[in-house]
Parts: sequence; C-alpha cells; structure tokens
Amino acid sequence: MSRWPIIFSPPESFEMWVWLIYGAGMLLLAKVLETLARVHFQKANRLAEAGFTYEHENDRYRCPEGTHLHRHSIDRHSRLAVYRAPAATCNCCRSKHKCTPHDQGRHIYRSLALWSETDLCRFHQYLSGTMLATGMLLSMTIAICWRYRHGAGLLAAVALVDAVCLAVEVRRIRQSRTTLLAMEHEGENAEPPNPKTALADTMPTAPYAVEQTEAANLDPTPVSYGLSDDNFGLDVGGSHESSVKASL
Amino acid sequence: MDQLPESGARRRMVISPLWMQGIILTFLVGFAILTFLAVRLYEDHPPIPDRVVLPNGQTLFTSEDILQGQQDFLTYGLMEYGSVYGHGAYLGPDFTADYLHREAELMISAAGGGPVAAQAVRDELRSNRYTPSTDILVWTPAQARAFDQIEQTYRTNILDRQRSGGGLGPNAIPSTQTIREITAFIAWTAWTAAADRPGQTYSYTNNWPPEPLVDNSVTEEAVVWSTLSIVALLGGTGVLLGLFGRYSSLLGWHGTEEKRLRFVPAANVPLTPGQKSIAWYFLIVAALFLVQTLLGGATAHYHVESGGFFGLNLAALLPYNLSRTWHVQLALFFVATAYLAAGIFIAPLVSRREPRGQGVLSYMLLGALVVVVVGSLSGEALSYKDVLVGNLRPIIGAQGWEYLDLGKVWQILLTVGMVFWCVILYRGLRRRLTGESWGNLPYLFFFSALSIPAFYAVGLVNNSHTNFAIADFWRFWVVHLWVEDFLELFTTILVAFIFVLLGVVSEKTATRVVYLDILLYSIGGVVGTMHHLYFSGTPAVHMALGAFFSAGEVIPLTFLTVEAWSFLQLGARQEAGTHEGQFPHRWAVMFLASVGFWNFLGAGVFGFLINLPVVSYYEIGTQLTANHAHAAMMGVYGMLAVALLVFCLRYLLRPEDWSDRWIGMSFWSLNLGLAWMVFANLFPIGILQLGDSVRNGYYHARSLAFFQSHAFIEWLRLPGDVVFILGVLPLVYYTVKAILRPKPTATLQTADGHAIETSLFMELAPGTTE
Repeated sequence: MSRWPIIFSPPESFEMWVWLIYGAGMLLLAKVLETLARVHFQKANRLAEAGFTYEHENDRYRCPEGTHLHRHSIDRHSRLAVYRAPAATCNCCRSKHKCTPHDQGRHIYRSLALWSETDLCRFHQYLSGTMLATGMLLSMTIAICWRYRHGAGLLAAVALVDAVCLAVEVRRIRQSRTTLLAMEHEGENAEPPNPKTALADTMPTAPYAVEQTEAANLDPTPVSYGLSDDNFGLDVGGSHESSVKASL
Repeated sequence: MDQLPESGARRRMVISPLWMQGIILTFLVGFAILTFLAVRLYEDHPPIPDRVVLPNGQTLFTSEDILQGQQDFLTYGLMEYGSVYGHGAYLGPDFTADYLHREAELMISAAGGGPVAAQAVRDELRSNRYTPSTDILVWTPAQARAFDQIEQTYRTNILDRQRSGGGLGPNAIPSTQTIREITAFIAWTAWTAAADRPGQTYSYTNNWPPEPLVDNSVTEEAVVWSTLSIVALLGGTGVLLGLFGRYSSLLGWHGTEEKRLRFVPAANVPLTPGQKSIAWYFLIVAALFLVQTLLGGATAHYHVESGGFFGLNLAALLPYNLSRTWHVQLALFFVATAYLAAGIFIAPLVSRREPRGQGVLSYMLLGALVVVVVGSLSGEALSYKDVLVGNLRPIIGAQGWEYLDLGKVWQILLTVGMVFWCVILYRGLRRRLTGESWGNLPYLFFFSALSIPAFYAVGLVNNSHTNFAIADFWRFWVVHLWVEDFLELFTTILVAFIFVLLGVVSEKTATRVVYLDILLYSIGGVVGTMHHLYFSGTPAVHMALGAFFSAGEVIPLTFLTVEAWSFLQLGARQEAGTHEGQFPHRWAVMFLASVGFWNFLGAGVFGFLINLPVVSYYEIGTQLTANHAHAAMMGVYGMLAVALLVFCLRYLLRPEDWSDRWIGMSFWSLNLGLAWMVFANLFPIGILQLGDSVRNGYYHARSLAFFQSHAFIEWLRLPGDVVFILGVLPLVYYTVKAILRPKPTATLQTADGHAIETSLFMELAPGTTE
C-alpha cells in the first residue's frame, strides 16, 4: 500500500500517463515557443547590424573595420535610434561595397520597439495562451471525470498549474495592452521633435549619463512605461535601453 | 531590381552561379535515385494473381475481380472513408488491417481455438502459395470460408447498411457483385500484408500492419533504418550547425544597410486589367475556403455522431466519404487558386508592363477553374451516389485516390488549366525575362511555375486498374513532391518576390534565400517522398532510402524554418518601425509570420514525429497523421494563401472599405482556432491512438469503437472549429466587397498594353526616420 492517497499515486494506466505528461508538456511547450519566437524577433532585429559591435558604455557601434558609429538622432514616432559613421571614413573604406550603397556614411537603425509592442509578440502570447487553455481543460476534464483514480490528483495539480500560468499570461497580455494604449495616447499628445534642438548631428561621444540628460531635456514629460520585465526587443544591457526609452 | 538590361545582353546572375549548379546537381542526384526506385518497384511489387483458387482448383476470384474491386473501392469513395495500407481516411477501418484481423480470428475459431490452432493459422497466413510461373495463388478452404464471412460482415455493417451509421448512409453500395469484388480487393491487400515476400521473412508490406495473430511485427530493416536515420539526423545537424557558424555571413541578408522606405498608399497603386480580374479569383478562394471549413466541421462531427449531424440524418445526404473528399479537394483548390491568382497579380509588378489581353485570358482561366471545381465535385458525388455507371465513374466521376479524387477528365482539364496559367505568366513576364539571367528571380519564378503543372501531371500515370503499390508511388509524387517540394518552392519565390517588391529585402538577399531553400529542401525532400511508402507494397530499399533522406530533410527544414522564421519576421518588423497605418500590409505580413510558426511546428516537429519507420509502423493513418496534415497544410499552405489574398485585397479595395480590425480578427480566429484544433484534439487523441495501436493491434486503434470511447476529446475540438470557421467570414465579406465596390483605378495605357509607373514604395534619404 502506498503511503500516498491513491489519487496522488503515479498513474497506473497508459492513458493517465499521457494526460499527465500532456498537461505538463503544454506548459513547457507554451513557454518554449514564446521564447523561441522572441529570440527570432531579436534575430530579425539584429540582422542589419550583424558584424557591428555595440559599445554599451559609449552608446555607439564599432564596425568590422574599426570605425565608430555615433548616435545621430532618435525618432519617437518610428521608435528608431539612428547611428552614423563619418561619411569621409566610409567613402574610402575597402568594405564600402558590402556595407552601404550611398556616400553619406553607414547608418544603423536601431529599433526601440519593445517585443511586447509587436503583433508578433501578441501572436505568440495568444498561441501559448491557447496551449495552456487546452492543456488545462483536458487535464481538468480527465481528472474530474476519469474512471481511473490513480494519478487523478496529480493531473488536477497540473491543471491547476496550467490555470495559474494561463491567468498570468492573460494578465500580462492585458497589462501590455494597457501600456500600449498609454503609449499611443502619449504619442498623440507629444509635440513633434524640433530638429534644431534634437540630438541630430551632435555626434555625441559623451558618456551615457549626459545623453540621458539631453534626451530628458528634449522631452519635457519623460515617461517610464514600467515594462522592465518585457524589454526583450534589444540585445543590449537593460540600462541603456530603458534610458533611451525614457527619453522617448 | 528595377533596372532593365541593355538590349541584347542578358543580366548577370546577382549571386554566384555555383548556387545554380548546386541545385541542378541536387535535382539530378535526387531524381536519379527516384528513377532507380521506380525501376525497383516495377520489378518487385506485390503480384495480382491471375486466379485465386482452392487446392481442388476451384476459382474463388480472378485478377479482374481484384482490379474491378479496386476501382469500385476507389470510385465509391472508400479510400475517403477508411484506408488500405494505412492510406486514406481515418473514420472507417483500415480495411487491410481489419480484414487480416477478422480473417485470422475466424480461422482460429474455425480450427477450434487455442494456441495450436493459432500457430497453425499463423503459418497458413504467412506462407506464400503464389506461383509466379502459373500466376496462381492457392488459398486454403479456411481462408475461403473467412472470405465469405467477412464479405457478409462488410455488406451488413458498412457497405449496404439498413440505416445510416458509421459515417455512411443506408444502402451505400447495393450491388452484391460489387461488394464481393471490393472484398476481393481488400482480401488481396490483406494477403500482401501477411504472406512472406519470396526469399524474405517479412511480408510484401514490410510486415505492416502490426497484427499479433499473424505474428506481424516491426522488421529488422525498419528498426535499423530508424536508428540510422536518427544518427544521420544528429550527425547532419552537427555538420550543418558548423557550416552555418562558418558561412552564415555568406547568406547575405546580414550586415548591409537597411533602406529607408515610404510605402505608397494602397489607394495610389494603379491596377492593370489582369490584376483587377484577381478580385474574382479571391472571391472564389474565400468562398471555397468557407465551404471547405464547413465540410471539415461536418467531417469531424462524424467522429462523435457516426450517423448524422446533431440528430439530422446527414449521412444519407452527405456521407463522411463525400464530405471528406470535398474537404480535401477544396483544400487543394482554394490554396492552388490563391497561388495562381497571386502569380497573375505579381507578374505586372515584376515586369512593369502588362501586355494587351491579359485580363481576358485571366477571366478565361477563371472560368475554366470554376468548371473544373464544380464539375469534379459534382462528379465525385454522382460517382459515390451510384448515379454514374461503368467506366464513366473514374472518367467523369471520381478516381477516388485520396488527394487525386477527381475524375480523369477533370484532372486533365486542371493540368491544362495550369499550363494555360503558365502561358499567362509567361506573357506577363516576357518583357522582363528577355534580358534576365536564367538564374535570377524572374526566371526562377517562371520555372517554379512550370513545375506546378509538370508534377501535377504525374498523377495522370495512374488509372483505377493500376497495381496499388505502383499507383501509390506516383500518387505521392503529387501529394509529396508536387505539394511539399514544388509548391513550396513556388511560394518561397513568390514571398521573396513580394518582399523585394516591398523593399523589405534586396534582390540579392532574396535570391540567396531562395537558392538555399531549394537546395536544402531538395537534398532530403526529393528522395524523402518515399517516407510515405514504407508499407504499401514497396521493396525494403524504398523504406531505407525514404527514412534516411527524409530524416535528413528535417535538418534543413529546421534550419530553414528557423531562418525563414526570422526572414518572415522582417516584414513584421517593417510594421513595427513605421507609423500607425503607414505600412499597408500589417496583416499580410502577420499571416506570413504565422506561416513561419506553423512551418516549424506543423511541418517540422509534427512531421518528424511520425517520420521514422518504426513510429510510422504503428502510427500511419491515425490522428497523428491528421495532426501533421492540418498543422502543415492549413498552417503553412492555407495561411500562405490567406496572406496572398490579404496582400492583393489591400490594393483591390477602396481605402475606406478596408478594415484592419476585421482582417485582424480573421488572423486571430484562423490561427487560434487551428491551434485549438491541434492541441485540444488531433495531437492528444493521436498519441492515445498510437498507444492503442502498440498495445491492442493496429486494427483496434482504427476502429470506430476507439473514437467512441474517447468522444469527449472529439467534443473538445468544437470551440476551436467554430472560431476557425468564423475567421473565414471577414475574408468572404471583403472579397465580395472588392467585387461590388472595386477601387477606381487605371494604369497608363501604352501601344502594347499597360505600363506601371509607380513602385510599391519610395526610397528615402539615408538617416530619415520618418
């Protein structure tokens, strides 16, 4: 006789094992797929800067030939930060033909869009929500109705975990939606950036802290969106990213 | 992309010609192996004996009966009801396995039961008493008695029932003679499944189906080649990982500077007459898609209510075999029509001109397609309902091979239609092709278009009297090579082209991606066709090569889908970086991104799950196959068709008629509905069926009783199906709108047709972040 109540003892039937593993598997798969999708988003985002190294402390890129691309401007509408290399250097570079088609110096457009802002994120979030819902529903139905008693409690526990994860997922989706609405609202009310006072053409080399001040000056009402757990859009250290975001 | 060459000179290939040589070599090697396999199959397939006789010389049935039985089996839609050799539909029994099990049971009980009788029956069924020199197969009296009894069972329980049930209506096949011939055909398949292949210790079907009563178990070859293919998979993955690490920069879509673009509002993009005709194509696509999903709902419902639909006697009117045939045929029709339409729509954008008369030709093709769709679907109904008689049944009725269900005449007309489509495309592209290198995108686009009728036409080799093993070989040239290889190729090129036209990637980049795609898919995919044919009467070498190459197929598939996943997200990234509403294709690119996801999950993961011979041995024809089919066919091809529809619709509709909200709703419904269908029903029930097949024998896993004892899982798919079907409605609504309120537009008319002056985007100065 097991020291566990019979419903918490491991399943004896093949089918109960399937359901147990299935319920847990959905949980795992939902997370794995979402993570994979996010990684691909980052990868797609980084394609245009492959070979370039971002130097976090100076907020600049270094190209494979060693030239630096400094921050040139930020566009709040497009959510882009533009970095630019000196045209004179690029125009006599031996790799120019593989690098840039024009004579105004190589540009890099760094997307500041958050992963949670994208339709892609919502797509994969909803998909993992669906997986969790099906996993929970199947596990729960079988735990309640199944003729086998062995393992029904374990299955119910899995269903519960699925349900909790689903609730967390739904909450996350709702939160990011609220945030997005706030951002859209913010975007509508914001004044267009003044090109003369904007960071354009200043070629900042100063440390990042100065940048932040300048950026903050640009925008009289800096907003922190509180999405620090969701800043997957970029591959750099969080402080730089959130500061650029704050400047938006 | 847009510069045209000097007169007389051809443009150079935008990437190294080595790529082209690589794919030519791949195709040569692949098709050489396939040719070898075809020859081997013709030399060594299960024989259809001239006569099946008792030891006293009395004839039971002849080869003519078997072949006529095969024709009847097919033309009454039984391959769309149940299956033979695991190939066909999944509600009815697998007739091969079912017959074999019943036969063995009847013979054992006639011999008095017990282990001695069981051993004797096993030996009786396994011994091959076919003599090639006389072309005569000798059956024992016990086998003959079992045959009569099973014929009776099939008559009363399935084929000539008194009342609707088991998915079929009453009196589906009233003729006694026909039922006897059909049983003869099924009995022959069961004989090939049990009798040892000459000189071997396994049957003609590599011991499929798993049936303990005749001691059928998985063969040494199946285990060895499954193991070797896993080794190939792991080794190949390592090699490819290494190569990617070393050479991925050569792919060329990394590292170069992005262009800054402003997209031309869809309202300002003028349309040629040929492009305008596409509105009608997509109306038909959406309508077919809607009917297809409704039929899918009815088909799925038979799993819980085998006689009808919520109390309605649907089986008398629309039995399972007919709804399933239409479901499968419409899936091909709506997807193919969308691809044909998109081809016609893109051609003028590529060559910037449209010759006179393209619009008229396009409407003619549309008319022909409607005739084929309506004609073939009606023909199938008339054939199944016993209205057509004699040889008219396979000719204008239904040939009944799953996926090639349509009558011969319609099959020929469809092939001709696709050739005609190639002519339309050629006219549209001619101006561009004249100065192009053979290896650049426009030619690749045209060549891949040519491969569509070419490989569909392979299906014409079969007729309803072709030996099943041979017919199945050619059938999978269409189902696998045509669909999974050449349609895939065409659509990859189409999507790459659309991305180039939208400025998302450069021509060079798109060309590299296309070549890589062709190369990697074809290395495994061409010979990998054989992974469908492990157990339908092919020699063991088909299994060996099929398993090995198709495991190899998974390596590039995974890498490619991983690459494609990022590649397809490029479009979506374009959306993220622009103002609200500035990028006109928000949902078209999202549909493409979902293609990336389903390709990975549906084609890659769910496909490999059932690919190894040792898994396929127990699994073939279970819901795990349906799981792969739905996630890959709808998830990849269906979503791609919808993406193309949404892309073109954006230009066909007036801007005030367009609604991102409703198209978005369609996106969510289709994707989440499909995910629900897969995860709540097809995948879990498929796993249970696989387990049941291992534990209780294959015939048991495929019996209706199995589904009935798991009815609650079948009911669980209902919400997903409803959501999915609702997702089609906005597409129907907007395609109707595109016809009723077309966008007022006209292109510049020239002496020889129409010119397109505007591009889909404008390039901005570098540094612009607008």
